[in-house]
Amino acid sequence: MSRSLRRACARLIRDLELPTPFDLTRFCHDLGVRRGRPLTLMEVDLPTALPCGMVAALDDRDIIFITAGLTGPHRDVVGLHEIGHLIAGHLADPLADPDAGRFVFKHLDPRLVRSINGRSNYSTPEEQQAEMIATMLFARIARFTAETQWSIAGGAGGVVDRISRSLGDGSSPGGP
Amino acid sequence: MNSVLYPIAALTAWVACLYKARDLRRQRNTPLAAVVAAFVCLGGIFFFASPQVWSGFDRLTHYPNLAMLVSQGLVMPFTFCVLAACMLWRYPAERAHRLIRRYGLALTAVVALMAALFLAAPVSAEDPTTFVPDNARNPFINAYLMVYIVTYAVLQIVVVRLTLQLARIGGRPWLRRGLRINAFGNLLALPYCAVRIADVLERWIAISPGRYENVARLAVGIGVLMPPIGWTIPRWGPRLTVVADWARAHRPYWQLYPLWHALTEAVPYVVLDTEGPGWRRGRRPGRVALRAGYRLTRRYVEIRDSRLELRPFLDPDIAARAESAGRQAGLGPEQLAAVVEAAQLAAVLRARSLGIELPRSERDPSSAERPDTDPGGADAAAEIAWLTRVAAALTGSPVVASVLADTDPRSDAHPAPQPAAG
Repeated sequence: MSRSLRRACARLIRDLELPTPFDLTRFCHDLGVRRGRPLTLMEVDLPTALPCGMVAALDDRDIIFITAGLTGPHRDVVGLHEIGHLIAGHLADPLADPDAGRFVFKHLDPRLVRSINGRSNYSTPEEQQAEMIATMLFARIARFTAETQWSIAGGAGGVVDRISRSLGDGSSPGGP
Repeated sequence: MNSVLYPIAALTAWVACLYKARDLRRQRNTPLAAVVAAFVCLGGIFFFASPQVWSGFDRLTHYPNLAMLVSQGLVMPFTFCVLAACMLWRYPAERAHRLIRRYGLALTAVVALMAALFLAAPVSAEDPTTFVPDNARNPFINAYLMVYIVTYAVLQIVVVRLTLQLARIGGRPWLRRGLRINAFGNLLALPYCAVRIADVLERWIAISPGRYENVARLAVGIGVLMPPIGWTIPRWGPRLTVVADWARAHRPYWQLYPLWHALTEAVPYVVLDTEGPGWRRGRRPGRVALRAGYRLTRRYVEIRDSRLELRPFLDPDIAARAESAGRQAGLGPEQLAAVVEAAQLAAVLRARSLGIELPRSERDPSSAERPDTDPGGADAAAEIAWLTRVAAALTGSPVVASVLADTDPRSDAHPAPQPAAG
């Protein structure tokens, strides 16, 4: 996988603010507000032949489906992958994967669904990019990267910002 | 002691100065400029206090012990710069500027007074190491020292309060650590002040502070190393964390290898190849370390994804066998769960490698009950711990090995699932 793709992904997520501690449902909600398109998370028992996560773009909203029964962190990764599709602006033909299409159309009005991205393998550049974004975001929230966590006391953001701009590496709070 | 300690202190301060000045070139930032100026002064304080420089400077100016005035005089602009930076961070611009002006005027007055008192005192013998204790009885020097030390002590307390307040407000962990290190350095100045005050008071009351001279020097010696560390650590401290993360991430990374290898061999399409050939890339410590976290994440995700692909084929019969064998072997609950998981995975992997088609257990989608959550942990660390146990059970557990042997489809003794294609 090319270095340029990695750079492109890093650029896409650079300004993304993640809730601390991380909460996928809250992050979806915040992201929906930010994008001006509601984003909902649905945990459903997806048939095993389908990808474990899918995102359907409707006219006015996006819906992420995640298969039930995953452990918390695994569920976060699957959700972040679908969010990666949204951030990167991938638009897949709703009929590209007939199985996924059948499932989604059973739940949603087919006329409203503009695109379905599913997480199954990384054979296409879109899937690679989405998975790369998910991995980078997960590496940011996972416990083994402690320094990326921010705790700013309420209302004092100005002070912290001023100090870290002088003494830190010049980046503003919220960056990786 | 001074002839070694003070030159080192001066050098450290100036190195820190250069380090911070590099950032200044990149961005115009008043508090940062104040910190840089503070380091220039701090280096000067110890440069002139070094006995070699002290003597040389006095020879040059033909005024014995003038170096002391320069050195102690520089303490005021040093502290002023630190205070200015802290106030610019702590308060809104207008209030900060008002306070800075006030302190600036007061400290200029103090320096002027110190200079006047020192120059009014009769010229004393050149004495670069024990001038203060030896000359504290002279009334002018005595007054000089009183002004200097009291101002100095008060300033230290003001700075300690400010830096601790800033540290409490938060921000990056290394920022807080840096501010606390500074506060600690300023606190260490207080024993020094106490000894010097005792020197001054000796004129009136019978105490012999001379024996505490070493305490004063030790406190100064440790204290002086704190600002160079404290003001620069927010910049380089995160790298220490990253290195620690790197070390922490590498152990589980290799412990998980057997499990990852076995699973991804059976389900190769879950692997996202981001590394490419060449392990030498990213030699900068920061990058390598980030890559370690990234790679551990990949390893984790790929194990979880391949396990999910195998989930419909896991055999409850194997689980029951492993559980009873594990119980007989006296395993604890954590190990038992890992052994059960490892045995199920091993059985599926073996069937796959033998080309045996296993029945896919599909849940009834209309059933109202939610599927069981996969065994594992609630957060990343717990997940890694769980999978590490499974990996260890997969490679090393005799229980897993015996369950596999008992259910080997190739052995005639045991009725096993028939190979799909004969």
